[in-house]
Amino acid sequence: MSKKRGTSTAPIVLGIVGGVLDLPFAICSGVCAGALTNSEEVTSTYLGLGIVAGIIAIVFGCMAKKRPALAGGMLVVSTILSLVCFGFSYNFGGLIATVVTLIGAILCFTQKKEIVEES
Amino acid sequence: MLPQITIFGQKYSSYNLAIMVGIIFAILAFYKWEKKIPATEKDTIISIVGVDLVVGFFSAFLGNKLLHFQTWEAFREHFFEFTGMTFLCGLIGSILFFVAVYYIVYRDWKKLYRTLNSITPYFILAQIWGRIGCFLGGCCFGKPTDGIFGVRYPENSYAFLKYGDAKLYPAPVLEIVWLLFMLFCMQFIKICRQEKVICYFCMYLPGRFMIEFFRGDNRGNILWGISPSQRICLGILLIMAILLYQRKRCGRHYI
Repeated sequence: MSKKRGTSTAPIVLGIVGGVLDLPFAICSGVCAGALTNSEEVTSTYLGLGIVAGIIAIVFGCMAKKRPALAGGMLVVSTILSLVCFGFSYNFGGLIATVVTLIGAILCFTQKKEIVEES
Repeated sequence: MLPQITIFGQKYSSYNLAIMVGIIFAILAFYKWEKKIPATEKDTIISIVGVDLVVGFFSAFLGNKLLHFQTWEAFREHFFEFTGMTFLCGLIGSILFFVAVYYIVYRDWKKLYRTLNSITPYFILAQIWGRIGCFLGGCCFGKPTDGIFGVRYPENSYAFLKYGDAKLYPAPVLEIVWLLFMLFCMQFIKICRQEKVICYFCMYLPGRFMIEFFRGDNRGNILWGISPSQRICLGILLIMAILLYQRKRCGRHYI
């Protein structure tokens, strides 16, 4: 059985960097969103969104060589989640994480693929 | 001026969005259009740039605090508050980080110089987007003018709070025009095409030095009539002059 594998290490690095950056800024974003709306529910929603986005980016960033299409798709999901999370609170650091993750996602799809035969 | 853009009912800062678009566009353009660098090396460069973005923005953020808050108490008090960013500090931080990491990976100055030459035009593209964001966000503005190029800022903007209804120099637009001129030179003038890094520093810094005289927003602690950004420009130009002298003396083709 043959499988397509990615050849680039850039999506791995970018996915992990984006994901790691997401986590601390998720806390910051949750606090800001909560303060703006004066609601604990909003705080936990935005905190949760940011943390989930970060974890997805780290986990699927690591899979960018093994399963490039799946990793790329999940990095896009992570980007959308973090854009919602950080866009609302004008969190600049979080937006850098979003950019890094999105570039990782695009490179996942555009990188050169090699076909590996598996027994 | 358009400080906020609404997408699917949610408001986003146009400054942040413009910077995001600029960075993504520049990196993808480098990935697709740059032919002189092999694909494996491009991967490494993009990976370094991914981390470098964080270092660059953190340096810009920290630099702004250092330039605007002179005492330790004020610096500490405002540390976690977003008070803006200083591009030149970010530039210094990101270049130092990029050079250090690239050298650790490849241990080759010549290759490093070639890579810096290759990424410079894409960096300028990102910078242009950043300045578009500045103009839309209204964070950077010029001094009052009666000229035909003067622009009026809306009532809730920083510019309006400082100068009221007066027409102001569109300082970010001046910088965009200068950056576009630099890109033109790098594309069509042979010496600029061959030495893009040197061309960038030797053209951007004097241009920025001049544009600073037209800027009306808070420029930090003015000393001898020149702003902190202008002092940084002079400092980098001095370092460039020393490096170029060294290069000429040693007969090298790279800095």
